[in-house]
Amino acid sequence: MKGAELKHGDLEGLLKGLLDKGVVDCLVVPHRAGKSVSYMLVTDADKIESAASALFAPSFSVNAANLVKGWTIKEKVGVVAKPCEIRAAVELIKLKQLDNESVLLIATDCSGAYTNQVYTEHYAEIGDQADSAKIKELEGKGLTIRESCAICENRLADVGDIIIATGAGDDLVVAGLTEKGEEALTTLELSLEDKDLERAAEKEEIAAEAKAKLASLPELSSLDALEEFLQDCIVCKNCRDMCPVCYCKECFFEQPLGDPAGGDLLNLAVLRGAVGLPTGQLFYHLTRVYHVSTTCVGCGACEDACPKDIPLTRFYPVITQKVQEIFKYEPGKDVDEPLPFTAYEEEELEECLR
Amino acid sequence: MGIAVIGGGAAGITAALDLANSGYKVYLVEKNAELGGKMAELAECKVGLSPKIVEIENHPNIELMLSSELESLSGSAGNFTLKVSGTKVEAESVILAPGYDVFDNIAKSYGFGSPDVVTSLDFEGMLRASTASGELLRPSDNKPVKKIGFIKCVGSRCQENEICSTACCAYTAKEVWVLKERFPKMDVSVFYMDIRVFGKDEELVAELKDKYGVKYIRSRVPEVIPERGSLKVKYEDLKKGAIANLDFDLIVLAVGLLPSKTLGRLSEITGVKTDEYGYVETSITSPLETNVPGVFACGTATAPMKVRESVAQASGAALKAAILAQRTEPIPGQEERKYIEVGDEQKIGVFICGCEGEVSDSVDIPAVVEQVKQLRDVVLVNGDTNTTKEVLEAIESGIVDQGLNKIVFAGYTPREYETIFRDSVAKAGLNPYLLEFVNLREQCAWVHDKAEATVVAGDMLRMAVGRARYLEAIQIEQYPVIPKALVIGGGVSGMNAALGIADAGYDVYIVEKESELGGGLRETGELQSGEKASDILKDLADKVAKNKQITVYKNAKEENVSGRAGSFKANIVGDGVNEELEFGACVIATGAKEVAPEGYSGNDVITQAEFGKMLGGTVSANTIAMIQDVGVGVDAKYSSIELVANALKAKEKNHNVNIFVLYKDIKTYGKWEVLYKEAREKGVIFLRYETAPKYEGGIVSAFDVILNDDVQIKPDLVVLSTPTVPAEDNERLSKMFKVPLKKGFFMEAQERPKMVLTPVDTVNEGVFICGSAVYPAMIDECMAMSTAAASRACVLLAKNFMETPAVSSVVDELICVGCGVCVDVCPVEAIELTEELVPVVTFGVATVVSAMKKVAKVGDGCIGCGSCASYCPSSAMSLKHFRDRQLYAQLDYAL
Repeated sequence: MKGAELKHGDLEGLLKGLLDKGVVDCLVVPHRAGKSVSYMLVTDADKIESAASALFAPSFSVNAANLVKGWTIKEKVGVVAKPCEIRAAVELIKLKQLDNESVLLIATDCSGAYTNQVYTEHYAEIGDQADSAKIKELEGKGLTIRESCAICENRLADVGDIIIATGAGDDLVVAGLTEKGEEALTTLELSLEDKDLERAAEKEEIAAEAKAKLASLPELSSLDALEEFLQDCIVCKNCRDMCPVCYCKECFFEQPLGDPAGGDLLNLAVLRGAVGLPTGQLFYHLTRVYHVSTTCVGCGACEDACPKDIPLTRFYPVITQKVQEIFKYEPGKDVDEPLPFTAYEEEELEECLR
Repeated sequence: MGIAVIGGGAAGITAALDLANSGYKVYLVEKNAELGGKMAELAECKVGLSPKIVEIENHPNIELMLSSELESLSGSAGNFTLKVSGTKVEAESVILAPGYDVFDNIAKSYGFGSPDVVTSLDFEGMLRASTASGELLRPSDNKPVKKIGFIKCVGSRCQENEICSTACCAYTAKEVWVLKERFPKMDVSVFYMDIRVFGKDEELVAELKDKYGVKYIRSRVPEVIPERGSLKVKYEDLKKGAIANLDFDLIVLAVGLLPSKTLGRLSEITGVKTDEYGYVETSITSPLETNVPGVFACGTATAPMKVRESVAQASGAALKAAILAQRTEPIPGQEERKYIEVGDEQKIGVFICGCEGEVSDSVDIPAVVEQVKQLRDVVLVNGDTNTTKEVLEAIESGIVDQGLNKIVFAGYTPREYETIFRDSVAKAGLNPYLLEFVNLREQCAWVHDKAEATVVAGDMLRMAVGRARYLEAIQIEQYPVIPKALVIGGGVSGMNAALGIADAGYDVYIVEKESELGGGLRETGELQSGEKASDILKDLADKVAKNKQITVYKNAKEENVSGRAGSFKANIVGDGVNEELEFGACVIATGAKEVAPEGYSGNDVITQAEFGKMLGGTVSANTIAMIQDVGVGVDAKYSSIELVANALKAKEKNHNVNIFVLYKDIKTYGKWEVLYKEAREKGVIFLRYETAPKYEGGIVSAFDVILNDDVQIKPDLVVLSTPTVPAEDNERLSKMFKVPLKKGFFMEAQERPKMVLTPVDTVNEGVFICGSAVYPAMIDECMAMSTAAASRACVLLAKNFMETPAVSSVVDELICVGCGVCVDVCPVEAIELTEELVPVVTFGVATVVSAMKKVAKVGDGCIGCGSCASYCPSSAMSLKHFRDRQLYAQLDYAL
């Protein structure tokens, strides 16, 4: 791939250039809002600020892909976000909820993120950026990154059209992964040269740590255990609303069959003698995990969204990773790789048949 | 009058149904008390055949004459009089389908007589018993079998029966496959002389060897010695060049096929000639016609063959017989129907049938009736019927006399009976989809003990009644059938299919991509039977030219195919042509292509086809090397036969010529085996290799695995058998006609794996396939198959109208989010995504952008498989009759 070396201070100029040179019509970028970090949609380059301190902040607010979901417009939107967010955007392209021609996906290296709450409370200690050494140090103080980040093997940017990789100190590398990405960088008049951003050893190290963390999580080994796990669920469906790859216009659980009320609910009570209220926690989560089983990018937005603090990471990404392994499918990795559902093979998964 | 079909096995059943379903009166004569013939004895096949038997038993156009035999035949084509067990039957034509008998004079040397040496047919029974018990036990001591040996060619390719029985290689492979699937640890060896399988069976044998670890040992077994609780098989170990022994727990003898014992008498009665082997005499170009005009033969009456070929012949014979007869009967399902309006009030009637004891022996029906009576909206429960007939009458009377508007039937399996029951409900005036079917026999009575079965039956009925409440009447639309056919490909198969359809009275279009008709046969000199290929082609082409119902388009191809069975449309484009044609059925007969194998070059290297033509003139070579089974492509079924026939002709021309044949397997199946024997007797040398022979510097060299030595031949002429590849156009046609390909050849619609009862039908109803487009075959098979394809097309064209499929998918456009996954999962490309630009409305902000709105639309081709509905996460896509609320209602009662 081709790329150029930059410093953190160049980031603002890079983003402004994308708008000024007409590479994109608008940008979804992280920005600082006080101690917190969130996104904004920018059309005027002058409004871009605090890019350097926001882009690599170890903080997770919403999944950026969720913000642009369903934007099937002709105007080109650039999205600057963490790898898991970019991966979700790629899945949305496959699901036609984003148009590949109208997006420019820019992934930034991630070292893991804290919930917004932890990050704002401890901003003084955490700062604008945190490398792995710092994250370990903070862990010693009882500040831990989100569980979904701890089990994530894909923290280094290697998806989307453009990646921004962090190096030692103030160094950065920006590189094009796709033709579209490279073209954008050329338009920005960066002097491009061949770059090797494979970073295999580093990736392996991250993967090993993530795997160890995953193995240490308590398992949901039975249906009873799962029922207990979900018993506090109030079926508010926040986890669905914050999920970047839950993409229905009208969710089944908003339809009468999925959300029985009044007479429908009473009918069930008559039939069974009694029904728990709110009803259908298990049905809701099992259906949802099935629906996102191949596309879930493990971003953890569901857990962040849960008002009852159910550690949903131990359910969603843990299960979906297993499904994805079976199909040897990596969501968000390659926009041209078909969804497992659509790639029927006459003879496959024979080992699962017996 | 009508048509008499003699024999109620797989072939007779097929012929009878094709005829009856196109409006002919059929007399089906079977000597046994039950239909099914030999096929019903096979472990896996009974299940496949039984829906057809049920259809026959309930068919208004078929007079079933069981335990009956043909006693006399008089008159002539168009006006026969038959006496069948004392009853006089008048028929315009007769089809002989008496089937086969198995070889029973098994030599003592096979250890036959020991209880642990069984025939393949007995073994089928053991396999069936093992399904229920989960164990395969040795007959002598009831100990589990661990090691089985299969011995092929018992009672075939021998002195008593010199021809090859054709079917044994494939049926043995099937038995071994079933065995290994059920008992993966079973140690299996198969002793064989040649493996004579083609196409899918070839793949199966390869899989057995590679994946299942079955040992295929090439050796004719001289002796099986029963000793001390085991069976010692003596065989020749080719690698060591010595006699070796292997011990087994059980030996299965793949016994050969013989003509049916009744065929001799049938021949006397009808005057139909039989050949020297006792089979009905037919010719290679007219494989279905006997010497008696108006009497046709099919299946194993004409030669030993597999079910697939047998039922193809049966369909073909049906058309030949139909052409001589008058259509006198209405076609079932072609009458106008009006359904009663169903109001808001649910009136559910539940009918629980004892199924002649099969249900009532396990389920306490009166107890279930009492439970069901308590259910809401159930106004009638009937548990008093015991047969199909009784329950159908009860249901009809329930609808007509008591005004039931939902029916739940519990008893037989829907697999066999659904059509009959829906039809019956419809006749009584209720929309057929207001019937809910409960398979109480297979899913309850057969699998639970008595105490449990009654509880389960109660649950199943509660679920069914729950679902029945939500059943909706489904609007079924009729559309007229266009009584015309399109035939793609103007070779032998295409021309013959077209003539068959035209003779039945329908217009036919032939589309040929070349500038003349004839296809692959134009490259052939003489046929194996000695006739000139050019004479056959001329005869067919003349008939096509003279037939006013046939229009031929040369240098043309079809584009933009649309529509469905009964009403297709396509554009025919080519030299000066661009026409839109409408047709009800289509026959694909694109043939195959021979490709000379690479790696053998020189002026003295020719193909078998070229050698065949050379045999028409002079052959100067003194030493000829024939090489078979080299090159890339599939092995045509005629390949070995062409080779031995040519070798014999060369020997006839010059008995001093030296002929060496280098081969892997000589597949001279059926009666062609005698040519192979004759060739060996006349001094043709057969050398078997495993690694492809080389031809360098004028020397053919190979390693002969029987001699266990290198051989070198210095020939004057090298003749190569050519493998075949599919026609180039198949890929394009496959997409256009939605018929899948396997290795480039068209796939038949299989009823279930490994068993083919519909060899010319495809998954796309109304599109038929035949000849070498399916698999490169001999001309007799191409003729039979193309007549079969014509026959199947005519069954469709005989109808006045077709109905749109009732169970199809529908989209709720308000919910659809346009992800398009349904488009990708649809196996028949019936769904498309429509896109339109919609303005974006913001809070009073000027509209600067537009968005795309995407919605899925289900088109005409939907086959109601439900793939889209099962994916759609929003439930925007649903399948009629299987709506979420219907299934959930059922689930509610299951939980």
